[in-house]
This record gives sequence, C-alpha cells and structure tokens, in this order.
Amino acid sequence: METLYWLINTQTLGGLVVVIVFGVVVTLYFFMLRWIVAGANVADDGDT
Amino acid sequence: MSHLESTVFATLRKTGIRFYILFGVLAALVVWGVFAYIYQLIEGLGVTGLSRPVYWGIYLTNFVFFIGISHAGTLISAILRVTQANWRRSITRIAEAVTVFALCVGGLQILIDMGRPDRILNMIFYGRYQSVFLWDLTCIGIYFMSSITYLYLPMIPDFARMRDKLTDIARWRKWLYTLAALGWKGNHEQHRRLEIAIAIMAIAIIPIAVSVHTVVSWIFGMTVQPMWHSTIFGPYFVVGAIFSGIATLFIAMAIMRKVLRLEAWLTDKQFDYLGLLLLVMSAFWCYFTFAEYLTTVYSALTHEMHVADAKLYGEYAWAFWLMVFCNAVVPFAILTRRAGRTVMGTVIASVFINIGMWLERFTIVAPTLTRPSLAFEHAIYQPSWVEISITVGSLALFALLFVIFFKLFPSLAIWEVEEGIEIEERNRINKQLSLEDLRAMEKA
Repeated sequence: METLYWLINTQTLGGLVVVIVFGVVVTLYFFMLRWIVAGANVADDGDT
Repeated sequence: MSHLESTVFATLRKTGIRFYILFGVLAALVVWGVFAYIYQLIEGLGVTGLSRPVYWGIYLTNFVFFIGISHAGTLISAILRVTQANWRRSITRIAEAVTVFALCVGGLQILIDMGRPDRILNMIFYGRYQSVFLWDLTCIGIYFMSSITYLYLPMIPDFARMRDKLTDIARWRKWLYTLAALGWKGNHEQHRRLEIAIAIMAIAIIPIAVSVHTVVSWIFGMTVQPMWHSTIFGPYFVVGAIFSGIATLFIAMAIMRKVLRLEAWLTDKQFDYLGLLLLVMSAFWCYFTFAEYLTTVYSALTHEMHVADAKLYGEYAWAFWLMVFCNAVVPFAILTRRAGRTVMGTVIASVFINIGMWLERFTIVAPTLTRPSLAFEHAIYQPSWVEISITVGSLALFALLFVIFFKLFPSLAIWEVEEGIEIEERNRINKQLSLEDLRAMEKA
C-alpha cells in the first residue's frame, strides 16, 4: 500500500507514466503499420 | 473509372470559387480568434471574464463540448464496424475525421485556458499520478493517437488509388499520396492484414473512447463542489458525448452530401437509422438529467440548492430550459416520426442538439463556480469579447480543418464502399438462387 501511495504521490513519476504509456502506444501502432507494409512481400496463393 | 471513383475524385481535382469563398471566410474567423488569443497572451487572463472563484468559463465548456463531439466519430464508426452494419461504409470516413479534428480543437482549449501555455509541461515534469488531469492527459492522448491511426488505416488503399489514378495533380500532392500509401500493392495478404488491424483498432477504441469522457467528467466529479460531486457524471458525460457526436456527424454528412454530390452513397437509409440512434441517445440523456437533478433537489443540501436554484429558476434558467428544449423537446418532436428522420429533419434536430449540448456543458461549469461551497460571495461570470472571439475562432478552425482535409483526401472510403456493394450484390444473387431452388423443389 505504501509503495502504491509513493507511486501515485511522487512528483515527476506521473509524467513518466504518461510518457511511457504514449511511447508504448506509438511503438505498437508503428509495428502494426510495418506489419501491413510487409504484407506486400508475401506472395498470394495464385502467384506461386 | 467507376461512378463512385469519378464522383469522389472530381472534388479532389477541381477547385471551384465556392471553395475559396468558404476557405476565406473560415480563415478570417480563425485569424480573428488568433488575434484575440495573442491579446490574451500579452495582457493575461484578466481580459477574460474569469476571476476568483470562477476559474473556468467557456474555454472549459468548449473543451468538454469538443471532446464530446469527438465521440461521433470513432465510437460510432467502431460500433458499426464491430456489428458489421453494411450501411456504415459510406459514413465512417466522415465520422473518423470529425473525431480527429474535434480532439485537436478540444485539446487547444486547455492551452488557451491556461494563460501561460508553456506551463502545460509542468504536468510532465512535476505531475503526480493522483491528479485527475494526468488521467485526462493519458486517456485523451491515447484516444488521439488511436483515432489518427484508425482514420489512417482505411485510407491506405485509397491513397494508393490516388497515387495510381490521379495523374493530373500537383507534384507535391502526388508525392504526398505516394508517401501515405506506404507502398501499398493491394495483394490478398496485405488486405487481410489491413482488415485484421482495422478490426483490432475498432474493438480497442471503444473502451478508450468511453474512458476519455468518463475521465473528463471526473475533472468535475472528483471535486466536492456543489452539483459536480456526482457518481453518475461518468456515464452522463459519455451519453452526452455520443449524443452530440451523432448530431455533429449528421451536420457534416448533410453538408458533404449536398456539396460533394454524394446523394447516391449518403442515402436516406443512413439518416433514418442514425436518426433512430439519435432519438435513443436523447432518451438516455433525458433519463440521466432527470436522475441528476431529482436527487439533488430532493436531498436539498444548502450549497447544492444554491446552484440548483440558479439553474432551474435563477440566473442560468434561460440556459437550462433552452438546453431542455433543444435536447429533449426538439429531438422527440422531429425524430419519433419516420417522416421526420429525413436529411432536413435530422439536420434541424442536430443543430438544436449541438446548441443544447454546449449549453449543458456551460450550465455544468459556470453556475457551480459562481456559487462554490467555499466562503465566497456569489460571483458573476460574463464571458468577455476575447473569450467569445476565441470560441468563434475555434469553431471556424474545426470547420476549416474539415474543409482542407476533404479537399485533399477522399470523402468516402472508396474500397470499403465498393466491397459493400459487392456484398449486397452477392446477397441479392444468393437470395434469388435460394428462391429459385425453393420453387424447383416445390415443383418437384
């Protein structure tokens, strides 16, 4: 409980949480786009 | 080139005088708003009607209003996608664009309200996560990034189409479409991956959108101010957001239908179905408003009654009863009848609803702050010309972003609409075949 209180009540840590969350979300979306782009290199069944 | 393609591409190719006039008027209003903001930045928040204890006014009203209408889009589009409603295909692009631009303008209101916009960085440098403002920053930030991605994903095949087919456009536009198409080839695997990504985003964005307006409501709900400290504020705000979001979507759809000649794809059917949804949201809004005010007035706590009295028959009664008229009387009078759920009927109802929902946010923000539970005399809040100019400028900015976006990019998700036409055709043939089978069996 004390750790949780420290976590939510320490200045700068809040900002750090926001930055980490944003970073994770942007990275996820970047990899999703990359995965779609990479789909262009996979040959369709009819092409092989 | 299909009829759909040629209609959508026609507005991207040609620019008429009407576009420049509209662009000029909106840009002039935005410039006026910017001028008012620069004046406020130089002179300080003293040029607004804000003072102690009224520390929030129409900037916060605008913030909640714009974040509310951002639910138009993505939430409606996502729900319709998840439920596989085929009629959604021609409205999703408009809905998703409403979301992104409403979030841009809504977020801007916070910077404007701060007086010193550089201090927004203090939230990152010194923020503690117990603060509701950080929850807000997290949810709105994620929603913004998700909405942009959700708008962008279905546009990729359209970008490729523009890259390949729009040969008579400026070089920078060609470059823009090529870059945005991400080398799209449109093979089966790429389509499969795109569909999976859109489906994941559609499911993920629904709880994100709900969290956004819930947390926005907690800016008020987590305080102990009279008529703010309410447990139903979360769902009340979410319902209001979807309500005003659909109303904004109607206005955007009707304008684009007329101006871009999209009558064949934005049909009466969509206006009828969405009109019913708008009516349902009006009923939900009435229920929450009634519950909120009844519990306050019935318990009759002194501080709460000061605010309730001001809203029901005092200083803010005009705003409160006009809100009730716009959000309850007008939608029920128009939308309950099938004949009312036409393009014209839904647009009239939507304009009233947007006015009503802005007033709802105003009657949440201002009356409580003019009558706080602290030992203050009752205050008066009168928005100044600066606040009104910035508000008008913000509305114009929202419209301007919309106009520029649809001047550069297709107003409909062409590949999705084509897919929908194919599905409908297949269903029609299957139905016809099964009827023929049935007749053959009967004969046998």
